[in-house]
Amino acid sequence: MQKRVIMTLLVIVLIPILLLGVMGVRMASNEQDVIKHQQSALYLSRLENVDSIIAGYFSELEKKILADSIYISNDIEKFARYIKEEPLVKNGIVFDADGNRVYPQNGKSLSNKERIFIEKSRMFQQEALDESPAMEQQVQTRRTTGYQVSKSFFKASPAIEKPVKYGWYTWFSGIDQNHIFWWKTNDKTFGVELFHARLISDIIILLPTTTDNLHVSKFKSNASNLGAAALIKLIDNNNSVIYQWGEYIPQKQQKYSAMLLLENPLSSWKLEYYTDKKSYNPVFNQFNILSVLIAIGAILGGLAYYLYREHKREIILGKQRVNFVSQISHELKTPLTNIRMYAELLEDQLQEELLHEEQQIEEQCGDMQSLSDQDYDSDPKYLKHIKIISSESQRLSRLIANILNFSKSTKSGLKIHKTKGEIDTVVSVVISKFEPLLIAKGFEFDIQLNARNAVFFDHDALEQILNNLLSNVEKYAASGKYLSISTMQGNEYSTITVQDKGPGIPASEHLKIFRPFYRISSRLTDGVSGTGIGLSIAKDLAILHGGGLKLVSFESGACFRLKIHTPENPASDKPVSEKAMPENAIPEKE
Amino acid sequence: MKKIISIFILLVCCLQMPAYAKQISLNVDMGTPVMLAQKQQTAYIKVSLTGFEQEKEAQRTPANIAIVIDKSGSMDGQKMKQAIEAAVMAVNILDSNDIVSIITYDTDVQVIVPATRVSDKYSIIRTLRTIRANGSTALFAGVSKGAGEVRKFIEKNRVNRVILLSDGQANVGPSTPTELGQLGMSLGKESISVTTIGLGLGYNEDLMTQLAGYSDGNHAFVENAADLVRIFQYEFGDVMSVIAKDVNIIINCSQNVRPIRVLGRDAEIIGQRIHTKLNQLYSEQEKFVLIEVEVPPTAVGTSYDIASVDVSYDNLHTKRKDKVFGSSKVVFSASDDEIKKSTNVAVMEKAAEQVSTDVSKQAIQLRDQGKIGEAKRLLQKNTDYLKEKAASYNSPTIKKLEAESRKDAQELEDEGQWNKKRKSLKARNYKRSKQQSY
Repeated sequence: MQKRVIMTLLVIVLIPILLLGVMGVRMASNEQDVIKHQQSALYLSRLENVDSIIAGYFSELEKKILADSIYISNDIEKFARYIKEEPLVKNGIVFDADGNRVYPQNGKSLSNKERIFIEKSRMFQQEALDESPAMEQQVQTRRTTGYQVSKSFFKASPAIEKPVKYGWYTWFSGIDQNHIFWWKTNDKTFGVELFHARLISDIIILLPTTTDNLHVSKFKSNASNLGAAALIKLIDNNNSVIYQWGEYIPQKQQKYSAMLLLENPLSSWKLEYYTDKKSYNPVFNQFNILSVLIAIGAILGGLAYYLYREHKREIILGKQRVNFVSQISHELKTPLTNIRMYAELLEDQLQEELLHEEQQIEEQCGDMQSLSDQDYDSDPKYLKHIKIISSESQRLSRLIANILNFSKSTKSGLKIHKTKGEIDTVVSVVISKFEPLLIAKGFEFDIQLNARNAVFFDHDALEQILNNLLSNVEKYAASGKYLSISTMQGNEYSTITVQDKGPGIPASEHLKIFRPFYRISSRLTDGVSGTGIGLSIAKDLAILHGGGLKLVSFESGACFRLKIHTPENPASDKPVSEKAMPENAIPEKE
Repeated sequence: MKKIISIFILLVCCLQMPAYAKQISLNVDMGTPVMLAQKQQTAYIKVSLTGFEQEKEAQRTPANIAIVIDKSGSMDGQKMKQAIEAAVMAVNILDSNDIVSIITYDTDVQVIVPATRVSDKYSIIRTLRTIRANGSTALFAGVSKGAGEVRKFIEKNRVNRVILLSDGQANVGPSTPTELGQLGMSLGKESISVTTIGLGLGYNEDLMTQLAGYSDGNHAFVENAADLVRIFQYEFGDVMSVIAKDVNIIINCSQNVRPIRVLGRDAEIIGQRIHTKLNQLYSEQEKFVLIEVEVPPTAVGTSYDIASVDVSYDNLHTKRKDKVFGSSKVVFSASDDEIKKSTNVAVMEKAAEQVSTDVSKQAIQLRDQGKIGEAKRLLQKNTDYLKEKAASYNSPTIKKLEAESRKDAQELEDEGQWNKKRKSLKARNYKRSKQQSY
């Protein structure tokens, strides 16, 4: 009982928590996805910002070189000086429309540097002269919008040669990247090789630095606004880190959170964004869910515990009540027995006295017939009173016996003591007890007693069962005015059937009536006193006796069939155990 | 009388100083002004420039310096402490006309003091003292940021310089000597010099010398961190004594004379024309270009200008672009005695030194390729060469070089000491090629 209550309460507590947990986790994971998505978008946008810095650098560079080109394109001397003085420019080359090299001048002696450059840039020279599609494409995919600006700039000074086409030419010699910015005027093609290291250096200068929280400096620099938990790496075509900033220190083998490929002329370079994966991991969310679950769990658990306490208190209270009632009953039993005994004694004495008196009167008068009639009609009032006292005290002792048995049965203290006897005798005694009452209510009797064999059975138990059954008939089936009792015996079992023609019991109540304290609520039972434990005890006793008590269907009224194990000798008293046997185990014909 | 004379001298000085002392002096000297006739032979021409004396401290050229400090994990401890002390000392030397920025780098770069006038020394020094060493070595990015800070205030009339202090191999970002050399070349074109100071035995001396060499900065090998402050003192002594910038030297050799090579310095030779550039010239320091030329057989008694030299530069005193010219005559004679008598021993000493330096560079290359024997033989040959020269010029200087070369040849084999030896050789060669003051 206790266990079942605890289990039920546990289920009541756990199921909502489980449901909530599952829902919470699912919600959290959805939220996580959203956050993840938003975050990777944020990371990407940061990388795009960086990319735009780099793109801006190249676009400015293009603009600058194109602006310079106006002044140097028409004079090779100026171009040569430009190559010498411009910090970003390493080498230069010029072709005329016929594809002849104009600078460094063909045929003239070259410096080492020039020789190496001319050797190294063969591919460019070839493609520049052939107008190869690769070059055309580079013009198409250029990242600048600077050309428009340049155009208007060129319009202002129409006399000078303006580039008609320009672009980047990037190639690798070994692992080194080489960059040529080229432009074409109407009759010449110019190319300037830029220091790759210088380009990288300039880009690094434009990129933010790591904020160093350690030093309290009054100096402000363009330190990164990445926050503490991020790092951006600029990675070159050889997959080595060129520059990085941000305070976050990624784990070894950690994968980037976002990546962006750079465009020409730093194609095959990329930006990688690193951040603490845990920062958007569900730890915080899980923690939230967990705390909510714990809170709800605590509330439900508290409630369950409260209910459990209440329930336990109820049970204890109930037990105390039952104990109290059984103790009271026990206390009542002795005086009641005395009352009954003396009442019966008194009744006997009075009857005897009355008989004695009658005999005297008979002797005196002789007219027996008229006297006896008179006697019957005028039975002394006190004898009647005594009879009522006696029958009521009998009813009371039945009630007390019921209560005592019930309290015993709840403590599993109900026991069967079998003694040898005749079933019919006990049945007759019980009938004889109820007879006067039933006759007074106008009952008809149909009694067939066929269990006359001497068998072992518990006399008191059988008497009590029958008491309860007949008491019910008297109470509830008085309208039927009919009682049928039949006994049968055989195969170590005795069957007693009690039937009336009262209002009967609705089918829905067939099982419930055997439950303790259950009373059918109807017009019929209203106003009739009862404890509701009679049938329950009767059934318990019957089961204990190795049999059962069943309500069998019948055309009208109620029909109870009692079956008990009644061996002919005590040795075969085997099937009856302390524990109640299921009634269905006993074969029964209906 | 004495008084009158002194007044006169003073007057002369006052009159002459602006006209004379404010120009750099150019000397074009032949090692052998008298050469043997009727014979094809090599000759050395020394083109030397000497900065004029700086007048007063107040008039010195303001500096624009970026101090780039390696604070990678290996710097931890005494090195970091000394580096900070050196930087603090440098900041203390500078004044409010100067601009300084301080950049530290490990795995990434921090501009801890962006380019600023040195007016609040206390704040700068306090910031310097917060530097803590850890992490890797992003040398390239550090130098880049340093250059970026210098560029913010770049001016013609300033000494624009990045001073790099590193004790380790660059391991984040571009890290080959070529790449750093290219960066140096580009910065040199902007007249930003990079001085590289290698600390301890862990740095890459090739990278450091290339970076310094192409940008015409100084280079020093500081084995012991305790010497850092001293080196910084020298460096800042140089920085504060710059009197000319963007010194372009164009040497035109006479028609028959073929330039073979320029010893020490990086120069561009196109035909008869040699072009080289010094980023700056320091006060009272001599810098020279030594050219080896081939002279064709010539008749006795012939005399001609073997080379004419044009030097143009930014005079930081007059704030003008100035030019100086010079040339050197050669006479051909049949008399050995005359030739010997006229030989300019000082030039020949320098020539021997430069040749020896060149050999040393080659020997290092051979040693790097694992050809220890070959390298050793080369140095031994050089020793013999120097021995002969020492004898013929009776020069104790060359004798010293001979001893040095012998010692180098011996120490070449010692595997355990090679790392240190290589660094000191590299630094010595650099110093000689560039006539570095320290």
